[in-house]
Amino acid sequence: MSDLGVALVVWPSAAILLVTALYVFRTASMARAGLLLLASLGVEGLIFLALASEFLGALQLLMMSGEMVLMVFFMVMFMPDPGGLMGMDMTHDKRRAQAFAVAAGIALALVAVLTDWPAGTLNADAVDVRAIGFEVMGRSMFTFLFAGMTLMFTMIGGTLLAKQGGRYRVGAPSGELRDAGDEGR
Amino acid sequence: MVLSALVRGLSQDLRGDSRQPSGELERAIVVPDAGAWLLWGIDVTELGFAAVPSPTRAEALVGPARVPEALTETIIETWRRMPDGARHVMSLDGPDLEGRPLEELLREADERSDDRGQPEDGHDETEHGHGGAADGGGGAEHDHGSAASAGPPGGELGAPPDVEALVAPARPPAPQEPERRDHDLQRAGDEQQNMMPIEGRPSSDGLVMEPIEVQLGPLGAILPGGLVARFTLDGDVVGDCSLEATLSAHWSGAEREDALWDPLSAVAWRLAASGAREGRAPAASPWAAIVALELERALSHVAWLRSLGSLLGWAELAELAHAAVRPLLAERRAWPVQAVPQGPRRLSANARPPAALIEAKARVERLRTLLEDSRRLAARTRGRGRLSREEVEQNGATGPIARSAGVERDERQADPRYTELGFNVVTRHDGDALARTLLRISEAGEALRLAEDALRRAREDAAAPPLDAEGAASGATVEGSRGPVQATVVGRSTRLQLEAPGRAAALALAARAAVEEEWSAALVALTSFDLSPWKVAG
Amino acid sequence: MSAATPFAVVGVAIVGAFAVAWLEGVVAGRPSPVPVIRGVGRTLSEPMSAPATYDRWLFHMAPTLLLVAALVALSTVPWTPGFRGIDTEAGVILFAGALAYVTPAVFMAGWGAGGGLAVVGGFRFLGLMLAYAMPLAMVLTAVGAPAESLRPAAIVEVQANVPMAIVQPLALALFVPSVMAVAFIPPFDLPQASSELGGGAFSRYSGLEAGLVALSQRILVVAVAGMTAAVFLGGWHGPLLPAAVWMVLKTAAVAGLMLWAGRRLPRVEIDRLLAFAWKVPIPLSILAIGWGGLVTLLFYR
Repeated sequence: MSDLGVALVVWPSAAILLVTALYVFRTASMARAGLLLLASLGVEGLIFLALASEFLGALQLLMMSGEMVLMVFFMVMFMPDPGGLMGMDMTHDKRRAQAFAVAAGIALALVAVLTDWPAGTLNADAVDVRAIGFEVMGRSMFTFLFAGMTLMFTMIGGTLLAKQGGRYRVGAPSGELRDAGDEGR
Repeated sequence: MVLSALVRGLSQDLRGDSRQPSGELERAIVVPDAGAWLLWGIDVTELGFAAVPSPTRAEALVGPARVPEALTETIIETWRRMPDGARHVMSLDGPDLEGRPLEELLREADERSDDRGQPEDGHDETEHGHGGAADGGGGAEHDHGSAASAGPPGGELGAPPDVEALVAPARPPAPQEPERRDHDLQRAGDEQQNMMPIEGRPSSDGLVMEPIEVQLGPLGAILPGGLVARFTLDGDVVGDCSLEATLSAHWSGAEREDALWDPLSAVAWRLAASGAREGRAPAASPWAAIVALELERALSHVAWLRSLGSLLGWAELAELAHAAVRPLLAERRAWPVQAVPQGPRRLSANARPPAALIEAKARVERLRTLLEDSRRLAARTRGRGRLSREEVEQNGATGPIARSAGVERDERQADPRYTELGFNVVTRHDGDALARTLLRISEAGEALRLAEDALRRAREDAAAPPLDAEGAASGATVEGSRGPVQATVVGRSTRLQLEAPGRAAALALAARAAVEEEWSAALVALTSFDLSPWKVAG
Repeated sequence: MSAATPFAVVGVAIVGAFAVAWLEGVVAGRPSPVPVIRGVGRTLSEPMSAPATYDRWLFHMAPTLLLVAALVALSTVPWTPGFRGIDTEAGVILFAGALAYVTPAVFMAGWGAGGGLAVVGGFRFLGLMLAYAMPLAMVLTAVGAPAESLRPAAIVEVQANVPMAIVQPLALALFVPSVMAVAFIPPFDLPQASSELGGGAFSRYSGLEAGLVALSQRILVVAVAGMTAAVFLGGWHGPLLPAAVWMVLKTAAVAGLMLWAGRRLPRVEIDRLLAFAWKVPIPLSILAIGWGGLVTLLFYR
């Protein structure tokens, strides 16, 4: 794509990305929050595509969709008021959270601005699939292996912990717990 | 395996076995439902309608000329939800139900819309077709003279029954906020404790969920029309279920609680009533009574199979069952209900068995081979709604429900005519939906065999074996398609007391069977009980 | 990819969707295309009602998202050497990525509509996604291996002598049910299950929106059938007939087979399906990847 084309895609997308990401935290509905986040990350995938990183862009679009929808699924499963209509305030520890958020934002901004990113002009035909393949199978193999398994264990573990009130037995009314063995057919 | 099923299906398709009437089918709301009309002798598909569950995209309303009170509100609401542009009405001549005329109801529905200032009111072209009646008002594309057969089940035994109704007006489920919970917010004064407990009973997988209330029926093409089911859902698992049969019809017009009968088994009731009054086997044509009864049984079971196929989303089963229904309907039309128990007037002695009956037998047999040893059927029905023999006996269930759990009870065993025909009680032992399905298809095949034999004897004018003395007591019990029906003469009058033992048990067991099942499994379990939406004592 | 490609893709989408609707009638025993046209006219002429919904934004966005997902998936399918759609290096990943957006679209339709059964329909499709997503993506990797490329046209080229279906039958056996599930056609029609959910996730749509949903579903069928034909049946390769004809024939055959098989099978039950899917197809997909690699080393190098 020409420079103008890339600019026309990247800058508005970046704006949309930021705005939708902001609205994720402004909405009280779990479904909307998850889908706004999906929109944000999907637009990021478009940015990758515009920057000629086809594999990463397509992969981003592919993965984010499934992930965000599953996230909505889990939120609806576990959170009180996933519909957002009870007007519940789900923020806690406001001061500490704000302080941390501001600090993290500044730190990341400094990293983004001050780092000496390797820059170079790639040939438009450069095949990124091969490069990524070698990277994943070589240097980053352990990282991806463990990242995947960690995610899966987290999901399953979280579900198990939430059953029957979890570790602290919070929420499960005493004396009415069904048998642990009486699970779905 | 799947492959062999596909190959067999391909050969069936190439043979054109399950051809549907081609031509477009209009989407229609059928009142009470398509299966009931089959039992009353009319195939709404032949009239050009396809039953749909939701009125918002339906184009037509098909219903009886007079609407039972139970369905009044529902029909008005349904009519108002149908899109204004192209809707029209077809009223069919079925059993003579008493209630308000359909057109009047719809006019009231339109007036109500007017009062509320609905913008689109222009069109209101309602077309009335009476299948087969002399003055068609135009509208019906296929004019089959199919309406006359069912006939009013009044006839010589009394005035047409009137249908009372208990109203369970169906309101469309309000848009639920699916997960609105009551809970307490953070524990008072506990800054560190950030968890918000969700109060409630955990469901069987250990998670506490907000219950969703869903009501199915009385109209909606998922359950038999007139049956109202109220569910409490935990996610998509049924937490609680209650069933109610809302339609009722009174025998001989008197509004007595003990004179309720079920128009879906008209032949069985008439035989029971005539048996109670005159002694079990009417002298005129004992065999003809059996032919009619068994035909009704076969038709009832095959129509039920069609509804099961459509519930399962199994188009092949629904089509084959429909293909089997058509010759059965044709045969049934030769046996108008009011002629039972006298039997049709002329039976020539050496006529061949009627082609429709043979055809029906062949198609039912094809259904049976499709279903038995079918992993596709077992995958959806095995283990669903399982009943044990003790449960069945304790609750007093009867009919195919009981026989599928191993209880060998069938009123036909006590009838010497059936013994002469070589009748054997069909039972199964698993007591689940699969067992009930296989039992019904076996019974249907057996019923057609019995009908053919009885027809032959009727043509030969063979004598019927005599009844023992107790058989001619003051009451008569006949095994209908859903279980025994019983009529007793009260005292020295001509009043009848009607009962169908096991009906209430069926509803109770079905409601219990649906609990703790996932939604589609719960619906399969419910449907496998072949519930009737008509209230009957017992 | 030229400037005319988007128009061509949209053209293929519309013609293909009609063809699929007609094929549905054919396998059901109604060979006339007239009811399809009349059905479309009727649907489009319905007033677009604004039913009481739970979440209006999501409800009204869902059909559009579904359509976009279907169109993008269709655009990755290579039809002839001259018309390859969006010919990107990671084409099959883009295909899978576009199909991945069907899930949020169906979920939004169900959640937005908001009646109990509609929400259940939307969530059931999520469960279905858990079942089909992994075999789908893994099989695409397996067929990419012999071509040493993820570009669909390259995968077609490598089948010049032998179709992939013969070399990797396990992959085909896993792929076809997965793509049937993506397009939620029977026996995977869980979200809209008219006999169980009364229309389910899509029950509240009428008029143009209902038409869009129906159109998108058919475009999905064209896209997945086309990709199956391209990636497993050799695409445009074949004697005598021109490339486009072969591709159309193969696509039609795959779509017809899917629709026909769907009528023969009862709808799947989500809990039993998930239990089965995580125990059998997913390990088999890993095996398929291994097989694909083995085949590549032995024959394609």
